[in-house]
Amino acid sequence: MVNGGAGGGQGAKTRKADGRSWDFATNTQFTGERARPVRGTFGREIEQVVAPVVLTLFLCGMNRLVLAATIKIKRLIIMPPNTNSLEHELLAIRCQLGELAAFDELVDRWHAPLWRYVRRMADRDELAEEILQEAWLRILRGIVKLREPASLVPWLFGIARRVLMDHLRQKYKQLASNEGLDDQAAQTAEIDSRNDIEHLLYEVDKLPLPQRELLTLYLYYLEELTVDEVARVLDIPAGTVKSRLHHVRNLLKRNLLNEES
Amino acid sequence: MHQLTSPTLDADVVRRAMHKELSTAARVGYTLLLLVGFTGAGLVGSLWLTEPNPLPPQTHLTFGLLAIINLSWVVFAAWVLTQRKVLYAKQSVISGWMAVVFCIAFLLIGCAIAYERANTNGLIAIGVVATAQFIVAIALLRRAKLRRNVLLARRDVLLKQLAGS
Repeated sequence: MVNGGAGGGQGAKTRKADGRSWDFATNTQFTGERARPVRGTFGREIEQVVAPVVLTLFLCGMNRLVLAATIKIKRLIIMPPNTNSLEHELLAIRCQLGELAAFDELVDRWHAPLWRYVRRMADRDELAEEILQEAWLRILRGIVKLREPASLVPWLFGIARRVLMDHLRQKYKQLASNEGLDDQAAQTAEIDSRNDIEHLLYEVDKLPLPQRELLTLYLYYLEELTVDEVARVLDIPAGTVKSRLHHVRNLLKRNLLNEES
Repeated sequence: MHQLTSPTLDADVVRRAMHKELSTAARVGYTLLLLVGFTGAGLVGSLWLTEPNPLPPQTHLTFGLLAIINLSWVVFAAWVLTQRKVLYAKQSVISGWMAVVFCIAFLLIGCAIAYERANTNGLIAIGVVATAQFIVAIALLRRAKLRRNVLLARRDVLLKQLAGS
């Protein structure tokens, strides 16, 4: 792994190749660290040409233009192909070939992130375990049909999300069919169970705005998914992901400015 | 948002369950079941259709039941291999070879039976059915090999790219 952070439950702090860093333990503070981008030879050459131009513009007071241009150039030219995505594609292909070691690697790499993702939505360890077991089974059976091995990561999280939704639907049906029970104990159990399910449904489907945004942030920063990948996992448009990220960043900025003042 | 937690479901447990689920022996077994069922249904059908003398109703019923039983196993094995114990690239190639071998065996056994009974119509029927099966088996094997080669080529490219970065 080139970039540290997201693998195997190493902690709450994460770092992306483009320098984004986020401390999920506190949910409120940037760590202040900047990851050094991995640059290719071509990238270094371009940078040597661009750097004097950028410096001149900066000295002329065109800070905003410089900032916007730098971000664009970094994304389009300087940053080399994402090594992580190549590794993911390779892992998916090895699994499709049927290499046992690749499946071991898949579990080693993604068990903890999937657990954290499922656990956030399930809100109970037992339910999260059940969902994750089912998700792993579906992953095993479905990976052969994965047409774009490069999109392994959003596919994994998408499966976990679908398993949870199926589970909730099934539970809801069971509750609806058990409505005619007379026994008091059964009724109590049903009410408890219904409350539980309603609570889960509330957590998953009708998350309050900050919670939804934090889930988006979690996938984006901690699991290092791209905007498009997060959109595919959460089944929302990429624009919504961007707006959620933008909204939370603004909130953070405001909080930090308030703290400073 | 909940605090980050360590998985209570151990990765080793998942890995063990996964190894059990990925067993090649089970996949070979279900492929065998599918091929035996298919070949059996073909043989029973051939015998039934090429019987020279008029058969009593009970014999028709027996032939029909045998064919249905064989086809049921075929359907069951096909369901398992597409939904539960799915075939990965390497296993698909193995299954393709098994299918080719079984088709050849069916062709030889069927022709031998028809020849022994001096049944020209039966010989033609078995020849046509077995040849059709053989062509399908070859096509499946070729597809499996192509798919595996594509994956292997992409794997090598990715390994080179990652080694160079």
